[in-house]
Amino acid sequence: MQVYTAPLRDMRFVLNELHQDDGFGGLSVHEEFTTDLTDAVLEEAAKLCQDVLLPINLSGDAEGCRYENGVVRTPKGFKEAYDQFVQSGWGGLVMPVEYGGQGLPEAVGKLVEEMICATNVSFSLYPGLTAGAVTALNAYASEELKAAYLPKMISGEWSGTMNLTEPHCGTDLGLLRTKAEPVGDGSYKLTGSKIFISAGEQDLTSNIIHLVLARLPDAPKGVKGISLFLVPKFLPDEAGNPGARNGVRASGIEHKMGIKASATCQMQFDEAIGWLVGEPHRGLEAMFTMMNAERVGVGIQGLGIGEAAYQSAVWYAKDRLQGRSLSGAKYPDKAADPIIVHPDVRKNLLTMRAYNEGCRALGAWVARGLDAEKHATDPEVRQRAEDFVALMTPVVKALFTDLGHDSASLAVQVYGGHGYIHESGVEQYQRDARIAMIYEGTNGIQALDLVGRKLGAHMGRYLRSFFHPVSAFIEENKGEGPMQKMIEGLEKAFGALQLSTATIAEKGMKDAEEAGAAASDYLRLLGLVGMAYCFAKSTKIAGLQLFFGTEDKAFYETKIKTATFFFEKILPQATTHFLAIKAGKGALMAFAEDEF
Amino acid sequence: MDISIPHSLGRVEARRRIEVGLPKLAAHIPGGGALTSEWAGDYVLNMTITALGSRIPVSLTIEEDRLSGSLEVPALMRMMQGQVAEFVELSAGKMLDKA
Amino acid sequence: MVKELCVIGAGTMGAGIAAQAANAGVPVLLLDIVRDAADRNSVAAGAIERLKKAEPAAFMSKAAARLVEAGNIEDDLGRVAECDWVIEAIVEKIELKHALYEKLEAVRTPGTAISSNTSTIPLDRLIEGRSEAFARDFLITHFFNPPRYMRLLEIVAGPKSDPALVAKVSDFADRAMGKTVVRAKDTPGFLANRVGTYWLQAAINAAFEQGVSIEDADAIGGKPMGVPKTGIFGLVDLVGIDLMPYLKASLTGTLPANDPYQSIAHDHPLILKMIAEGYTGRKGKGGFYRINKEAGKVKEAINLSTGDYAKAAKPVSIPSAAQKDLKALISAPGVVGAYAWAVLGPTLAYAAGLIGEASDDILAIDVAMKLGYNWKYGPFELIDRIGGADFVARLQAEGREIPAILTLAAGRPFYRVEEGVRQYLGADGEYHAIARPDGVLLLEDIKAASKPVLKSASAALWDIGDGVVALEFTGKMNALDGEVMKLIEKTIPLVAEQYKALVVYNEGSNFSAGANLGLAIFAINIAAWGEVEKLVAGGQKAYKALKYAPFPVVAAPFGMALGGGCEICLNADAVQAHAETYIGLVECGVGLIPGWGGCGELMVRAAQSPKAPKGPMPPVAKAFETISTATVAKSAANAKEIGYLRPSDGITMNRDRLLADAKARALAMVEGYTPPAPPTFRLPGASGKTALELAVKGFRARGLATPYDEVVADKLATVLTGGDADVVDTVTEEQLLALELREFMTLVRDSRTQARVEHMLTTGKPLRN
Repeated sequence: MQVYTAPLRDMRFVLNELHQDDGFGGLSVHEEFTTDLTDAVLEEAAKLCQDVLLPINLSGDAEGCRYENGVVRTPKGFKEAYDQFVQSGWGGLVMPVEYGGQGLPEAVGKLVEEMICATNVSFSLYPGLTAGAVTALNAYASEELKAAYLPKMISGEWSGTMNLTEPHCGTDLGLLRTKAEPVGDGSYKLTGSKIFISAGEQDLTSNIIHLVLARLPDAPKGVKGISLFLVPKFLPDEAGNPGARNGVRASGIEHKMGIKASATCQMQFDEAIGWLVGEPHRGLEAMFTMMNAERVGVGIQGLGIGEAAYQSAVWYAKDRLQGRSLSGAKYPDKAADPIIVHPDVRKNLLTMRAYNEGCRALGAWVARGLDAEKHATDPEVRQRAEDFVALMTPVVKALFTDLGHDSASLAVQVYGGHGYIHESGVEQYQRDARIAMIYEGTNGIQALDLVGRKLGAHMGRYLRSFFHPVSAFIEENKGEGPMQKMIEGLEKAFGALQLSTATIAEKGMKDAEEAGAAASDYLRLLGLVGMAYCFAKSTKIAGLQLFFGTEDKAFYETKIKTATFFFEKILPQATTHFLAIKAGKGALMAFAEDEF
Repeated sequence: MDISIPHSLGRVEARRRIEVGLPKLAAHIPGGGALTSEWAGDYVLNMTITALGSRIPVSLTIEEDRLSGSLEVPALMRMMQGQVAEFVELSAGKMLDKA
Repeated sequence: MVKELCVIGAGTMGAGIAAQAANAGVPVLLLDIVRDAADRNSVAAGAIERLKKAEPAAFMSKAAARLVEAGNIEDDLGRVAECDWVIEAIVEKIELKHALYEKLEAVRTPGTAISSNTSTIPLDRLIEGRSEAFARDFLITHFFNPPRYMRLLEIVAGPKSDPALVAKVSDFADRAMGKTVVRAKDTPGFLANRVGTYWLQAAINAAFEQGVSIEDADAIGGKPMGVPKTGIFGLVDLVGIDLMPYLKASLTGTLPANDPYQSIAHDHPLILKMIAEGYTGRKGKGGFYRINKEAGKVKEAINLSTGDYAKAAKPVSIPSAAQKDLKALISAPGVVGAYAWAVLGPTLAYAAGLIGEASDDILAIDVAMKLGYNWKYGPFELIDRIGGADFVARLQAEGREIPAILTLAAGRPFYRVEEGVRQYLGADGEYHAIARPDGVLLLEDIKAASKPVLKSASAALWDIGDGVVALEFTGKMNALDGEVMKLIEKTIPLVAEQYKALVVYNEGSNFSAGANLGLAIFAINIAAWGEVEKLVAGGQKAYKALKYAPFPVVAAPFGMALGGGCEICLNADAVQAHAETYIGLVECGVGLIPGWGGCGELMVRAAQSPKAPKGPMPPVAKAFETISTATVAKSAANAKEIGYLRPSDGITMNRDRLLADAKARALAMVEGYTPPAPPTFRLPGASGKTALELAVKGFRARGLATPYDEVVADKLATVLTGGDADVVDTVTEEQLLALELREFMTLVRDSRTQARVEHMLTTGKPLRN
């Protein structure tokens, strides 16, 4: 059964307690957002997700979207859910106030996103794509375009989409063929085909605003000749309402492995009227600025699913009676013991739990960076936040989605045979999680971005924003005391990370394939160290809370136990990745193509 | 963070009870903690509570009718400032209660 | 030898030549006309004052400036009788020169060398009407601008010139003035300008003909050909566009009608217009390039077809293969290959055609272009890089005449290494060993003929004969890292056992720019503090091992010797420096302090200086001043003034003689050598530190130091005054090194130092935070 209660206590922990010393300022940057206010926002969001989005998750997956003659119908209940969602203002939660948004920090926004994704990933894509389009327009569009489109997109009355991929080009956008011809009055006519367009067509909003990458007539070849255009489904009339139908339509939808309630469309542009966003030939730049924020969002999809999968698995493990505990019956009056008594089941459950808490903690740190890079008053802090976000974005995207999918798979395992059946709900999690490892830049691309671009940028300056806090924490907390073992474990993994970084920098400079061979191991290693750091800090805070006396003993004691599990059972993976990196590219590249 | 512990012992008696109580308090700090203190003048006490490697400086002034003072927590402990203050007030209160 | 010099003509060249002779330690009489009856020496005196303010500097030290005396040709011409060599550097007007020579003939002592710095008038015309004795003592000595820095000196001897006198002048120019002498025949433009003028003309013509933009021309005709990045049009702007018609006129007037230069030497209307409108280059309001101040200091480039200026565009991109491989460059597709060949083909053919006419020696032509125009490769080396046979084939395909030397070469390379000996192809068609003058020892020759004794990624050890080995830095920018230190530690027992002495020397563009900051910042970025400490401690250990090694160590710096590169010199027993050595402890500029013993060594030198006041504070204050301001010497002589070099350290004027001089110095120290005794320091402690802090506050108040400068200076002051101890009596060298390490590590963890290091590495300029 798909079980979910938002983990508000842990969310409040990572939001308010864990990262107070990171120098990013956090919520204090937005003085009007007190912890009382943000706690209330989280509670309300939890209610909406649990009560409105969760109930249509399984049914939405069963029904899927329907395509009829250019019209796409979302599953039953989605329209009502969407209306409720936007009416309560959830669409514009983190968006700029001057266009009608609520201006909340990303530190809160990403937690709300986690809840939405945990209860209904397909649903999350409709407002999610709109948010991406709003970010791009806000940063690059003219004031005129912004005034005409942003308010209704932020309110949710209209939605937005991102049109990049074409049948022959996904990763290599330099190959794209969609054309844009100037009309002469400042507008353009776009012609071409796009595929894999999420929410390209739907029955939730009165207008859909497509952001489209296309080439102008005099464009240089390759990635330097791509421009960004705004193409509405309905051209706004004088009053700003949807007027004439534009030359853009969905020519079909995809039948996918997962996120079935998300309308993934094939789009046809037939002399569709559009307007240039930003400078000619600089569309990819505009797209990429937005994509970085989107990549963190995709990571959150992985985390959300991971949490839902965990809770669903826990429910089953407590409910399902099979066999007896290895150390003697725990419930002798019952027919059998619940399977949660077994070490192996616990291992699966706790692995999911550790992944979720570790990613939530790490994600909260990165979200604070997203806020600080925009709002911090000290330019040095802004720079450090920018560096940190640049470094961690590929990690959040790849790590969280890989682990989220692992958790979903573990949930199916816990359910046994029933896990394989659709009605149980958990196999949907695995299918829904799979795409996140692929879109917005495959996880392999993320790893290459990390070692190929981020590692060396500015003589390695981005690394400082992660390595220095972790190193300082180790130095401050070394020595005797209750945290000794944990700090030793962290130090060992951190040392492996330092050595790996040096190895990749040295070998990678002479041979790009060496960097490529080590990339995904390095990303995982960095992610493990990041989670370990967060768990160690969490343990310290929990320890201090218990020391000085708290009414919340249970939460902190359990947190320490989860951290201990992570350090003993999961962190040792760091050694594996370190050894794989040290071994180099030889074993991979030794094969000739025809030996495969 | 300011702290305040009212009492009705008068300055001298309050100081005597603190002096007597400090070593006992130091001995009873839970695992992973330590307490050091130093008198800076007759009626001003500077303490440092060390817990799990974090150092919290506390300064107390003994007045006729109350102990007043302040403490400063490291950034990581900002959210539990209140609890730490309560802990100090409680501990100081315990010392004042014992004759 | 030459004990006193006279230079007549105090223009740019004359004054500069006088300054360089003074730099050699020789008194110079500088004469010019009388312009002001009340102040008869004003022209020459004014020139000397301008020399003192010249940028780049003309004098190497204050002492050198005092050696030039101003005079005039009416009152002082008779004093040439006391001079050994008179250099005429007046305007290029034959009548004026004749008149001067006539007067000189009357007053000089026979045997006094008379030379002209002419670039355009043939020798036989110069000595028209002079006596046999005069002709015996006459030669042309053609210096290049600026005379201090340009190493080339073309010497043309006349048929009657006394070979012994020519040799004496040559020898002085070589050893004392540091010039590389190339013998040229008395042909127009001699060697460098003969090839250089043809080259520029051909390149400019081709740009007009092929419609190549000047940005593209400079990109293609610059670095990929080993030519300085000013390329073609940038170079003409630098020397002055108005010089072009002048050079052209002199060559077309004096060259035979059938010389290939005649057929390409035409004027371009646009260039004539530019000159007429005052666009004569960098000295004027701009030239082919200009800075548009109104548009916000935008660099603009002229369009050769329209004559309009526009923002300088990014040049055409050169395929990476073509950037290093000349063959690939001239056959690259599009404008790159077409323009490259249009420049190289005719120019290299022209240079080859000079053999038998302007020169009999390919070496002379190559050296002339390398030292006169700063080309990385001479014309014949360039032909070798293309491949002689391919080059000839391409010329033939275009119907061009093949110069005799190329036919003679028959596809063989002009240079080769045969059994470890470098050889060149003579005009006789045979290979000859490249002979070095007596007293010239080149590491490149040693490397061609032998294998290193020891080798690591960043350094190598070479046997340079007579029991001496040379330690060569081989990393990028000759940066110093752990690998260099490891090699040093391995070297010491080896030398102690098998050799007599060690010289630290290399032939890169600079001696060493210091520690490998790129490695350091990387280690810093990943918080690998242990690695950073190892870098510092390792350098300390290696340098002290050198200092106390049981054999003489002589450092032979040249060019930049900064930071750790300076410290290795400070730790050596003696230094033999090239005159153009820019040595200094620059660590404070990047938010650090010297960590390899520089602090202590500088204090030792300051204390040993005879002028130093007594007491513990003066050496500390002097070292503090030098280090905190990151002072870099502007010459070896200046380095002595500052205190980086001891009075007893040697200076070599000619770059080619540096290694031989250093080797001789080292050998001279072998007999009875004992390592130095470790110094002990009496340091002033806290009171001294307070005094230094006051000085820094003064700098801050005057806006000369930034807030972070103050922080860095504080750490430096801690080290120099002996640390935190109250009253410090004796501090050992070890303790001082430990202080250096401690304060260095404190600074390295500061984000402001990290920002400074990153800024220096990415922009090459210091960050003033």
